[in-house]
Amino acid sequence: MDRLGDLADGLPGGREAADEPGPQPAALAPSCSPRVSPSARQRNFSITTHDAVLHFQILDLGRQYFVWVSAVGPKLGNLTLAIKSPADAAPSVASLLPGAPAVGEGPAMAQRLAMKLGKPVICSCNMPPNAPLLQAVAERRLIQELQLMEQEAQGATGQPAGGEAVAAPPAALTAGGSG
Amino acid sequence: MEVEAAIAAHAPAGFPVRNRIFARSINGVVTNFIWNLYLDHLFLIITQIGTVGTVISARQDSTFDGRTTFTTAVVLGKREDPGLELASRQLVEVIGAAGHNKPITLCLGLKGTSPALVKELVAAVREDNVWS
Repeated sequence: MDRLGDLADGLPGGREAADEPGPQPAALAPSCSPRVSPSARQRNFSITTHDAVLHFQILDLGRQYFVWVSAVGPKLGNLTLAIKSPADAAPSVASLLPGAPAVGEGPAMAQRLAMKLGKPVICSCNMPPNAPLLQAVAERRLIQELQLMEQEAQGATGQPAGGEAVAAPPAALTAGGSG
Repeated sequence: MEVEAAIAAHAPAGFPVRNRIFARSINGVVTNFIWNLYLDHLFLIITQIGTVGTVISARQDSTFDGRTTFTTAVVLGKREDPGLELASRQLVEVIGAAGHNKPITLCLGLKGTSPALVKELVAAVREDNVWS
């Protein structure tokens, strides 16, 4: 874009003329990368409790999870990252939305999910205030689904999860000894 | 076809959030594009490394002469990385050109930020998105 401005400097009309629509710039070229099957998996589902309808999203990026739960419609009211650090037993939390501090139930839930999964979790929790039962129902369902997805992921790659103790399979015995 | 099934919308009928997941092989690297469109926000993750990488927040401003531009700010991750800044500015511009004017959270988990890669990302985002 700057180059266009520089070029336009020498022309009648100067930089202002650079804003006029002209020949198609290189930025509008079509992609030459083939479409492939995604490696990320997302699950979207809703449940109905006697109080409210809860909507859930769980996204497995591979090394991190994104989780969204809402009882108040399709909004992204807050976004918190919980990530283990060597300094603390509990994962550290940080808000990822400027101007929205890491308060409310979101950060605490993000911490608990990160500890359970052994992976960083980005969490958006949109629940009405003063509804601890609904909060608990949502969190329990999330943990169920997350553990299921982790198991599926482990099954696909054959690798153990980060946070849960998994018995290592016995090493194969070879006649010649290990090298 | 498998790939088309993967590209199809993942949300069950009636799910209130518009969600699409696409992937491209860019220079042999699988690059996931995960779109989630909420009423008040667009959350877009582009990742090659299994994590969100650098998290960038973009908000729309109006300039004094009536045009709208986006300001971008790194919330988490590498700041003052010219490759990432270029990528985020151009991507946010494409999204704005598609008519989106709500706040955007853009996550870039990339193995590099060459101009060639940025060009491919911009084209992919223009062709396959949550409005297409």
